[in-house]
Amino acid sequence: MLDGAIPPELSDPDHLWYGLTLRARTIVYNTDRMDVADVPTHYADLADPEWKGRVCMRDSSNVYQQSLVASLIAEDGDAEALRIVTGWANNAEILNNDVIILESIADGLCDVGIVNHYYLGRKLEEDPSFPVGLVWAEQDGRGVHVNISGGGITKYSKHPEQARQFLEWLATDGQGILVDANHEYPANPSVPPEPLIAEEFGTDFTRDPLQASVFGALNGDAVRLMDEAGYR
Amino acid sequence: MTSTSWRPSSTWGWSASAIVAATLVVVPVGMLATSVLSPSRDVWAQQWSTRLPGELVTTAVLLVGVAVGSIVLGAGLAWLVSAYRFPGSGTFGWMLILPFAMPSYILGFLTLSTLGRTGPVQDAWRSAFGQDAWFPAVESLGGAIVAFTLVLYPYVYLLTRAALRDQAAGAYQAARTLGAGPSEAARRVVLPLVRPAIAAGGAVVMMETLTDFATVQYFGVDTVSVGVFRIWRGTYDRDAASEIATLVLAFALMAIGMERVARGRAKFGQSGGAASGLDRRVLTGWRAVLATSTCAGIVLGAFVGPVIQLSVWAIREQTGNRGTPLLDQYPGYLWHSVQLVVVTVVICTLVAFVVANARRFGGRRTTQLASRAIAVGYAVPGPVVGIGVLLATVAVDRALGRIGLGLPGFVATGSLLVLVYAYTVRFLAPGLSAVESGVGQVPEEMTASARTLGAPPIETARRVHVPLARASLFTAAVLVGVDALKELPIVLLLRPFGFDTLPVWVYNLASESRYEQAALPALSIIVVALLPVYLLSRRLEGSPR
Amino acid sequence: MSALVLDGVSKRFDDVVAVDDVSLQLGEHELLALVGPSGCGKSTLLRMIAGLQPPESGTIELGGQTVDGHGVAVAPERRGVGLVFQEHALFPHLTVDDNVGFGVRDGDRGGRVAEMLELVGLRGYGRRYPHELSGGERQRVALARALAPRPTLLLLDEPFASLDPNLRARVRDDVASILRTTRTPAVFVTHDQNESLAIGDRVAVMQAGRIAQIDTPERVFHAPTSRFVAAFMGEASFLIAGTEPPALTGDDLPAGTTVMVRPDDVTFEPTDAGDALIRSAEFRGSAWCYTLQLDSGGELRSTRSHLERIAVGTRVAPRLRPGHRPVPIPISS
Repeated sequence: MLDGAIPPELSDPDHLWYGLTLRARTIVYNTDRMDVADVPTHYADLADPEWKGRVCMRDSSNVYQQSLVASLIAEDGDAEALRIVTGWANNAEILNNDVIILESIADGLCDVGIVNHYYLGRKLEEDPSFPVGLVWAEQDGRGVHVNISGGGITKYSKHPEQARQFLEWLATDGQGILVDANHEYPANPSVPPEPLIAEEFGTDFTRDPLQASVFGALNGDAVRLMDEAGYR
Repeated sequence: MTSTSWRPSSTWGWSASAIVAATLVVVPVGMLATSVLSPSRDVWAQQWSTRLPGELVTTAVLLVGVAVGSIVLGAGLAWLVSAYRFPGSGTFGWMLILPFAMPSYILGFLTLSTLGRTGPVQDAWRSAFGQDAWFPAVESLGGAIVAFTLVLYPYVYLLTRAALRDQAAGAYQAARTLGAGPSEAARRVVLPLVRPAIAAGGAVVMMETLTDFATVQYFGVDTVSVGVFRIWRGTYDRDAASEIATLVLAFALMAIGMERVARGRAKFGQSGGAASGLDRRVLTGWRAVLATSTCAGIVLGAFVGPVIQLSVWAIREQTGNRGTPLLDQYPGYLWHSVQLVVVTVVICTLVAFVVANARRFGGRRTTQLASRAIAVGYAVPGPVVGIGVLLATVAVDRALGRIGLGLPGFVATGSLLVLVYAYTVRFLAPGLSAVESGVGQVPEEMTASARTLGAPPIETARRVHVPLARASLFTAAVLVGVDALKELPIVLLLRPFGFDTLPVWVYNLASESRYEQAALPALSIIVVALLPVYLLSRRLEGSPR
Repeated sequence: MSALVLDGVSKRFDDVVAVDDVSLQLGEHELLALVGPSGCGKSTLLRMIAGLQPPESGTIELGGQTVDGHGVAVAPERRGVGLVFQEHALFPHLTVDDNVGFGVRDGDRGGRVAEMLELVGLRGYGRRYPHELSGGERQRVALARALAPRPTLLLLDEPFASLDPNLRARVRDDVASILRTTRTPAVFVTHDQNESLAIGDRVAVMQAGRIAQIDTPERVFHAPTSRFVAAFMGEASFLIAGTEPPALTGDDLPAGTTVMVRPDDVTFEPTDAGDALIRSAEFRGSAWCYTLQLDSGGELRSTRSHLERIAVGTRVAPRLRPGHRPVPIPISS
């Protein structure tokens, strides 16, 4: 039943865990200062010298930034990933949380940045006129990088059957409760996302099918690569 | 008299327990230190050619900056309230230690939320003076130094005040009668006398700064401690993390070394006759205004203001219409914190009592050595303790596995046991020093009397030492408990999956700028942390002036 | 049977020898005063007997049983010795009753406590706390507490040193009489030679970790076996037979023998033909004590009634009082 509800690329190949909600790490921009047509749509674009001094990004201690870089390594290879991250390091002001990146963009301190989509959802919920918008990255190719929140059953669980039933509920009827408060996307494709992000960000975007277990395994390499690139 | 026993064996039991306790404290640090002997070259090379040099410089500047700031502020304020009388000087005497109750990671996020680049102050600044108007960078090394200074100066303040009261007053008066003016007497007599206290305070301040890696991250300051955390949580490379952690240890040793040098050959805590306190001069006019407003500014900025801000946020969050069921989560986090605190307090107080008694009943040299070794734990920064405990428990895990007693996932998932062990390593020392002073004040003759009246050591400890050292046991429990409640770095490094304590909750929420939601758990921590501050203030004010 | 036997007991701290090869025996009901200057090792010896410190070598027997040595080391709580300290060391958190009853482990505890308080004259004090007592009362409670478990030996470490001088003599006599009443053997440490003479059945004088002399109070005072004991136990002058006048050193001792004379052994007559000069005079209340300079080189002191006063500088002829004998001191000392 879980295999029916959750797409295979959002689950562990060995069925050890299943993704339940999705956090897309994508590109955001200041809607007052920029036209959406001028907003870069590839992570690599932000490495171009033209964006020097206009980008805000998250520091390398952050797990989402680490996983994004890990996905670059997996898909573009070490050398290209290093080139991109080095470009980011040259261009970006590196901040220590996604909300401050959004606020900096809103305040006009930077024009574009990379954040997890739900932080913007939260900001827009508080203030519908918050002057930051989102574009889905890499739509002409592999799709936007996505992190997964998921669940599994531990080997020594005392109540594996109840645990399985709970997981099944979370993957189906429980999806709404999971995503309503946190603005994440449901992993079950038949469940609609909550209205605010459905309306603001839409549901029609391609996500990078790269297995979480793949970029998860590259996390350490990502940290080292950011060190090499001089990315703080 | 009918049965004979081997006294060496009863002595041996006490010495042995003290040695076991000391070993458990020292082994993690020792294992970490020895990891230097077998360095993984590629890790070193990679780190040296990338982040490490910057981290080392940043750490050094941060430590020196915070130490200098705390010494100037702490010693200056101590002199101000000890040597002068001005409006509110008595009240400020104890209010100036209030920032003790303010963990740096809480003042840190409050600073950023108000003064940070997207906070209300800079927003207003930009709308008044234009988008590119210069404003000092808050998310910077300088910002971190100021924030740490504001919460850590009380260490220097307290030690200096005690030294001024116990030692310097008599000497100051003597110098005055020998013809020295007030400032000459202060410079030539008082300063040299309180120098050991200031040096000791400076060393503690550096240790506390070194142990942190959460606050500095708010400020975007990458210290070696951040490096350890980043390597461990980012790559789970134990060898790499432990090798970077040895550098943190090296900084701690340097801080201790600097204290030794600064102290010179002077002895700390040497009392010079009757403590009558300094003759306080009355300040008037603009001097009084300046003194009062300086003290008020510090208390307001470092404690009262933040607490008001947190209270406003907490109330707004609870009464707001956001409808976040924050209060529903509160008991869960609280329960985790309480579990951890209670277990740590019980273990530390108990072990401290055993070791303190071992110094009475066991071999003198062994037990003294053991108690010194335990004191080391507090000087070892959190990241070092965390990684060291990890190394030690992995070794135990492997050994158990080899003899077929392996527990599934004993270490891999990071058990609560590992966390409690790390807390004990770090917080046994303050507990022990409190209990030791309590048991140490029970005259030897009292112990000897109980023994010759037929009470074996354990009975003597129970019937004589416990009731007579009860206050110190309580103090130890409070000190350990509050330290454990406030602790963030170790729990961030070692917490079992899903085990969030109040500080972790505060840290996570603050890392996402959810300040209003972080307010309630932050306030809870501060309120509890006021308990030892109250005990300290009573000791400060209750002693002779 | 001996209450206590020490045989070759030694103890050193680091390189300092605190107790050096001490042997002694204590009779069944005997009260031994252990006296010596501070740092002579007497308190260390006491602590070893109590089991609070292990001897480095030698054996200790209590009531016929070895408690230290021969591979045995009995813990203090199993030795059945009572201990009374200078500061009394009463448990401040316990009442007088509970203090006295602390070590009573069997039978009628309340009865034994009452009996002990009666013995030390503190009936009705049971409910009080130590801080509500005077110094002398505390001393008696400490004694009652130590005696309550019926120790086979009582050890007292400078028990009267913290009392003021007026109280001291009285409490001392009380304690001595209580010990004699209960027939409890005791070792009593003091640095005050008068106290040791007053209270001890025998007196052991310690010097630098060794027992210099152990004997009755009279013999220790009047027949010291060493110059140290002679000088420590009371004021003494030392003269050399054959060199100084025979009126002082006697005429039956070989020339060169050192003899001790105490101030009350010597008298003198003012005479221009005398062979000594009064160099100084010191008023001692009941007497005057004169320092005499002998023409032959020696110096000695002599006490004399306060009724007459002789001027400094007067020439006098000193001699031994009738019945007093010069005491030869062995050369080895």
